[in-house]
Amino acid sequence: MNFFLSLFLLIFIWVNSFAQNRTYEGSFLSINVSYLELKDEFNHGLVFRGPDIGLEYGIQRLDGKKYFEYVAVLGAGGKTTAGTWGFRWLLSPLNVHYSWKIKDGENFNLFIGPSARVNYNIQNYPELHTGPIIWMGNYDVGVQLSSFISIKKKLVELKLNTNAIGWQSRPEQERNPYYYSAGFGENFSDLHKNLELGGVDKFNQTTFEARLFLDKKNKARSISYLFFYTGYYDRPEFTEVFHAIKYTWFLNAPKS
Amino acid sequence: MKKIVFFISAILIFSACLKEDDPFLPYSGISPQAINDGWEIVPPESVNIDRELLEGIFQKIQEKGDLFQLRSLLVFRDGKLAAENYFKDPNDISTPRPIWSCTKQIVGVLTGKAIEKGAISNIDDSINEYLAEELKNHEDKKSITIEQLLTMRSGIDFDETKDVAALLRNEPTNTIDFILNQPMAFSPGEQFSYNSGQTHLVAASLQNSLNRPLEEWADEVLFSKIGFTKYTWLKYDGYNFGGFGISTTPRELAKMAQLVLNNGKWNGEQIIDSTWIDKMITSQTVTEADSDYSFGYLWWVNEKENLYFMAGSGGQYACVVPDKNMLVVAMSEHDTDGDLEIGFEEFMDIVKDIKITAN
Repeated sequence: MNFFLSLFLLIFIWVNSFAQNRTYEGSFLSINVSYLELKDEFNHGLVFRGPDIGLEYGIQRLDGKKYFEYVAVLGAGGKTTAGTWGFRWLLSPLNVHYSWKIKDGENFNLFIGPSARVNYNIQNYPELHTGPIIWMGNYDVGVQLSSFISIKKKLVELKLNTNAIGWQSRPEQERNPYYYSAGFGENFSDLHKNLELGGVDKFNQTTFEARLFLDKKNKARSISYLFFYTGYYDRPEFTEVFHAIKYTWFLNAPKS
Repeated sequence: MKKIVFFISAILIFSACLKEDDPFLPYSGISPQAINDGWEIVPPESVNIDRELLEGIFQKIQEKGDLFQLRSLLVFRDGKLAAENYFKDPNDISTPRPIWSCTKQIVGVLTGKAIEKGAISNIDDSINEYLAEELKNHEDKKSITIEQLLTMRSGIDFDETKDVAALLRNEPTNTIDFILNQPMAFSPGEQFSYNSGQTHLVAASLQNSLNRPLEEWADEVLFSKIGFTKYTWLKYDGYNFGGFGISTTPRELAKMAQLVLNNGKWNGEQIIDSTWIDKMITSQTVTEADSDYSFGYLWWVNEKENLYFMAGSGGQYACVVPDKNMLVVAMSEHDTDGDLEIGFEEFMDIVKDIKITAN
């Protein structure tokens, strides 16, 4: 993650003299298409790779001093490896941050503040684990850095978010090979099992987004590159990386 | 600007970050370890196996890594353990793992013992003789015979995927009723249809007739006699699962196959009637048209290659090669299905290669 932190700071320092203010109050919709890689200790060292699609609905309040954002995400995709395949769903009902502008020079714009998120990452492999789901759930608080930058009259937003501490849920390391549940209620309940408190040494989830506003007034539409990393370093280990292109419509923005 | 964003995104999107783990531990040779479990350990050459050729097979598996599911491979000849490797975890030598449907072949052996003891008077008996109470509300299944269950020809429409999953999921309080509640796909005896429900009915018939838990009786008359000690046998509702309930080690599994290779004899004692063993490993029914594999009494048979074997989901195998007086045993990850599991053909390729090493 140091790479993305460095990249963020480098771009921030390089362009900070071109920063400009943006304000918005309203909701937005996003769609992202990604290439995802997933490695779960339950999958015998295999790395599943494949396309994924995500839908986001969010609320944003951005003024001269504060930046609030709430986002809910629904993601799904198919992955393959070694001649087999699987599904992965991401249910993320809560991604929220509340940030304050900490630097506001003439051409300078940086927000920082706490964030919180709840993610349910669910996997199912018809030819593995005799069918039942495996999951990575997390409930975290962390920190978000955001900056708005102007390059050649275009507005760019850079966002970096990482967790600090939270609870994680994983299946038991030794799962009963015989009895398992597959009903919706039991599966939903399973997603909250084995909760353990841990910091970044045990679990890290980092997102980096570079967003380019597309219209003249920099308000209604944007396109982003999004990087999403999740690592669970306890056993059973879990790593997920995806790179996405995201397109966003700001629903309450005036037309350009 | 848009082009730059797309270009950078495209590069990043298609750059793979994560790497697969090496599926196996570093190669550790094929010399078996002495653990005092009743197996005599010998070097391969002492039982006329070409060590170099045999090592080459183990090394090839290790290097290729395409059979990443494989956990262990063992070779026995003349009743002695000549080679083994635990590819992923040395603890597999003594840790029971699910053998899934290899349980069926053990139930097949136990059926022979039950006949010898008079608990089953004739395999042509209707199951109504042994499951009368359970069959009260299942008129359509009363004419099914033990022989039809042993050859997977009862006609009960028990879906090996869906219904096994339902049994595993629901932890039913009455497994027998769950199986008998399934419809009939065809008339009893008409055709082969492999499923675990039928073997569970065999196990339940034995238990009812013996009037004691099957596992307890099996331990007394069979398991303890051959040193089959490291095992567990799943039981939900008082009945041991006849279709897929045993977990054991590769070496223990090999004892069952060795007993069959010995025509039912163990250390000079006739444990299972040899005439039953003969019938059990003789093809009784075809499985599919043009298939090399037929079915005896719960044992798989390959007449073309002159082999008979135990087989469980995911790649659990114990194969008897009678013309070389040899066993090849493999255990694999227990949680692979379909195209991902080590199938018959992949395992048979290993067996054929190993067979060549025996002079």
